[in-house]
Amino acid sequence: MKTYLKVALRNLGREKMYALLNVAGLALGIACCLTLGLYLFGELTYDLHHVNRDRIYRIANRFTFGDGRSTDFAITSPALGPMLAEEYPDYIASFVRFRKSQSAVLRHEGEVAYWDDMYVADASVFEVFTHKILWGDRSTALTEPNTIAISRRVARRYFGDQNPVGESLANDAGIQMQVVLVFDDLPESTHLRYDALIAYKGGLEIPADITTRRALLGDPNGFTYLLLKKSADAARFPGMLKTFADKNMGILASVNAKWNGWLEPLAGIHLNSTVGYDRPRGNRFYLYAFASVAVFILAIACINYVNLATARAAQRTRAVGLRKILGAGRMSLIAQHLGEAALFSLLATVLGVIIVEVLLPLPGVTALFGKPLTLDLFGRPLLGLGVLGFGILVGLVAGAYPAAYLSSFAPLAALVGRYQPGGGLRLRETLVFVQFAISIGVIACTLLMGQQLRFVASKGLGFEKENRVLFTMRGADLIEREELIATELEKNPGVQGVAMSASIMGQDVGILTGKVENEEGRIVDFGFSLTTVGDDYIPVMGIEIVKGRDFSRRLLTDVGASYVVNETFVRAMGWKDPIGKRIALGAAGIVPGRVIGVAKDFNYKSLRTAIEPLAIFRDDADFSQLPAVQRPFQVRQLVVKVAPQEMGATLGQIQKLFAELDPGHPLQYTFVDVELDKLYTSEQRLMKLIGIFAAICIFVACLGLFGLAASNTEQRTKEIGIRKVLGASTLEIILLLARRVLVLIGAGAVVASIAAWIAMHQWLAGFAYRSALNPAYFVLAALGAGAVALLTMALQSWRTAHGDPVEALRYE
Amino acid sequence: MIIETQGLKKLYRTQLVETTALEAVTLTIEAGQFVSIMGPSGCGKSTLLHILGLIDTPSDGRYRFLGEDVSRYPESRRAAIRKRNIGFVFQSFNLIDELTVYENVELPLVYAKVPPRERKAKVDAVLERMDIAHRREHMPGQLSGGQQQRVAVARAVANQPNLILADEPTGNLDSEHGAEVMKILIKLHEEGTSIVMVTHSPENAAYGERTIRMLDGRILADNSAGARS
Repeated sequence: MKTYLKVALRNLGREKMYALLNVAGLALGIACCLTLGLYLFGELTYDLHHVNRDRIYRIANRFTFGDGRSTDFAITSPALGPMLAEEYPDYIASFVRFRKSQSAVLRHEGEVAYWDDMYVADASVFEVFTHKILWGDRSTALTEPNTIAISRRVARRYFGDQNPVGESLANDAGIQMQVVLVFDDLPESTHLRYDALIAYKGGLEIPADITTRRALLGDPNGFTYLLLKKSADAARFPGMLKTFADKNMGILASVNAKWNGWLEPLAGIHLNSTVGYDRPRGNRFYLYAFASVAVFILAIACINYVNLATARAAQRTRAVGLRKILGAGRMSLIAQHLGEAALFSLLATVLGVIIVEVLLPLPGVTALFGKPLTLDLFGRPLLGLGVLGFGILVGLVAGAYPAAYLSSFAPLAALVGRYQPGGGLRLRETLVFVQFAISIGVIACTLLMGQQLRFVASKGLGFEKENRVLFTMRGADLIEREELIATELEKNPGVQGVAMSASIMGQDVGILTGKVENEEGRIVDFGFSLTTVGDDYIPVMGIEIVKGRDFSRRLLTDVGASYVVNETFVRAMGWKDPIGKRIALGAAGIVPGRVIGVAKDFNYKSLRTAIEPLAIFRDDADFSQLPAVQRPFQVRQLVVKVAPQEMGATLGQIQKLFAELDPGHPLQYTFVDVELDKLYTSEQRLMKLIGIFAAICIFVACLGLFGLAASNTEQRTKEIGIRKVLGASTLEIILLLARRVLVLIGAGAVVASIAAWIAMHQWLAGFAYRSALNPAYFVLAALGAGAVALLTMALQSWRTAHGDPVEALRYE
Repeated sequence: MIIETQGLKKLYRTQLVETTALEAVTLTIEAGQFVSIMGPSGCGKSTLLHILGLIDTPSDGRYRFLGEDVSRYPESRRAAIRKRNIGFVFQSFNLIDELTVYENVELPLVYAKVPPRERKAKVDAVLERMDIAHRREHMPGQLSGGQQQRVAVARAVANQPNLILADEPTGNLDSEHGAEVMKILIKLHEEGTSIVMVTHSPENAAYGERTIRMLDGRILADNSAGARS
């Protein structure tokens, strides 16, 4: 054993280039596997820290309209949880509702900060979900109105490291909320993140009378989680929910709509849920992609080992033959070569771990994965052992064939050189083919993803997204001064238009039911999306009116009684002349009005989904009927079209204006194009990562090719000399050596293209708008890989091919 | 009797030609004999040596080694007999480049599963005997040809085999070093080891007590009266 180790180390020292190529390739492969493994581990272990995870479910639901169109919601009615718990006490142990807090800020003694993840939640949250409590009592927390539980992060922001229980934080309305509990910051791997939970008890409580409750069932506004009893069978719930709907949601039938609900197991939400109105989720397809790429890179590195080891067999056969003559059994030779492979692999593992440890803390890497990844092998000895075991396993896998091959020579043949140096050639060629098929496939996928994402970025959306700044206006007081703000802003020469909107382009817009006049003049139930905008929104966003007119400030009837619809709406209704057609909202037909114009279709949602019938409603921003307590929570977006060359100066002036008008809120702004780009963050990330790993794939494959070319050139030195004497040029010699590999790469490209085409076809199916798969990218990937491979081989064989032929002949 | 062959035949076949390397070789060698085999290149003497050393198999005929018919034994059984009974010395030394002198000599003992302590004693003793102990930690590449061949002989005798097969043991050495190696072989023979040596050199052949001459795969003459100088 000791001798084997010594021999392996000596071999490593003797054949430095071969060792370097192998260790470098394996180290890169292992580093990629570790990194992607950490990422995958994080993605696959979402919400597993909850003790009750096997019994916690989120209710997802779908509203289906008469024409078959439907919307899936992750959010449900606030009445659903309490009603189900009452209806099925034998099945449901508890429920928790989370509703996005209306207030975006928390204040304490002059300190004010926005908290994106703030929810109103039931007190049962601490009984159902697992939290590490730092201060406070979980059994009483959030049982009283105007109480709040906060994360460590929030506590530190306002109170430093002091225990803040008993202190108070104020919301946007100035209501003081007493801090009753501090929980540790939630782990990265949880789908529902929150920094503060406000007691549901108080203003948002659901009335007890059944009629009001039933009316609320059609109004989804927050997440509902159920903790089932241990004896309960989740599979029975779809049926139970149907019975429940039949009993309580009869109102939907009157508008020809249907509701159905189902349970999503907690741990599966992050990767399996597909419903809308959810928080950002993971993507199973992308995990498969990452896992495949990690395996690919490692496979390519292992193939390098197999190829280099078998190609260098000529150098090893004599020793193998001698050992056999001296009495070595085949098993002992296999053990020797396997041990050598394991040693290589262990060295590579150590190097790979170092690479990972150095790279992971870099901000660029964190940004690339969208979250921090840490290896921390010393803090996690089990993982450390696992990584070592993995390293050895990789070595054994990579070394298995070479060990079997090298130990198979008949002793005499090996000793007297009757062994064929070309032995294993077919296998090596097959493996090179596999390596390049993988590399080209991954490169082609990267190129095609880039094409689609460029297509998405540059596709005409039907509105203008550049140079539109979005300011969030908080509170009715501010919103009511919109005209004044617009007038002030328009004084600025850099401002080319100002408009208000209740929504942001690209956000989820659900389908609601309404009463719409059909072509024959009858009122029918019709499901469509609705967006509420202020004056000038249509021209400021550059939306085109193709028929009729836009809302007008001068016509009072336009407020609250007029609709602009999109072309899809007109087509769906089959209207010949849409102008003047009647539209009203909801089953009751509230806010009746007429169509005054038709907007050219524009993509108000992500390009993953097709355009739906959309009605645009003129927002009157009239808060006169609103209870005073609700006024601070009103939110609108102000869209400002700014001349690009004036952007910096104009932003500064707007900031100043808002600081005067709304000193209570630090200014929040973003850009329309930035918000739209965010819709494709995970795709951008996928493309960047796959791109990087594609480069690593081809690099590792070329490491192997470099070594293979070296050994090939060495074996053919005499042949090269003779050919040169007979007049072959350097280029001819290089091509002679590279020809077979280039043919293999060509064949690999064909297989890779087919595989990449299938994979990308599936990926593109997730987009309603997609670019055509351009065959040029397959050719480009193949040519790129071929060129890199040729260059690698030329680099290696240049010296021999270019050198003096006599040298080559003398070598023999 | 250590070796007894009857009608040994060896054919090498390729798709196009069939070459006869050995043709009906019948031979007996007594234990303790020193036999030299001579003949021109390609006469089959090395092939015969390889078959006698159980690293090759005859195409036809019978071979009894120590009374056991080994002609049709598979490699694993031949290997087992080999490591207990036969030591090899080659013209090109055939030391393993990545092992030190000590490790090269130790190797047959390792494969014969000799316990470490005993192994060390045996290797030390044989290195002393071959006068190469001071080079024990050197790699083969750091030694002269004569020293390398002394190591090879040390390796061949380390496990005290019944038979030493030497294939042109002095072929790559100058006369001085060649003579040294021959002295060692003679000494071993005197101590009772059987030796079969292939050689081109009539002088070296003369060290044997019996000289077999070969031509075209056959035994041309078997001169048992060879005298030692």
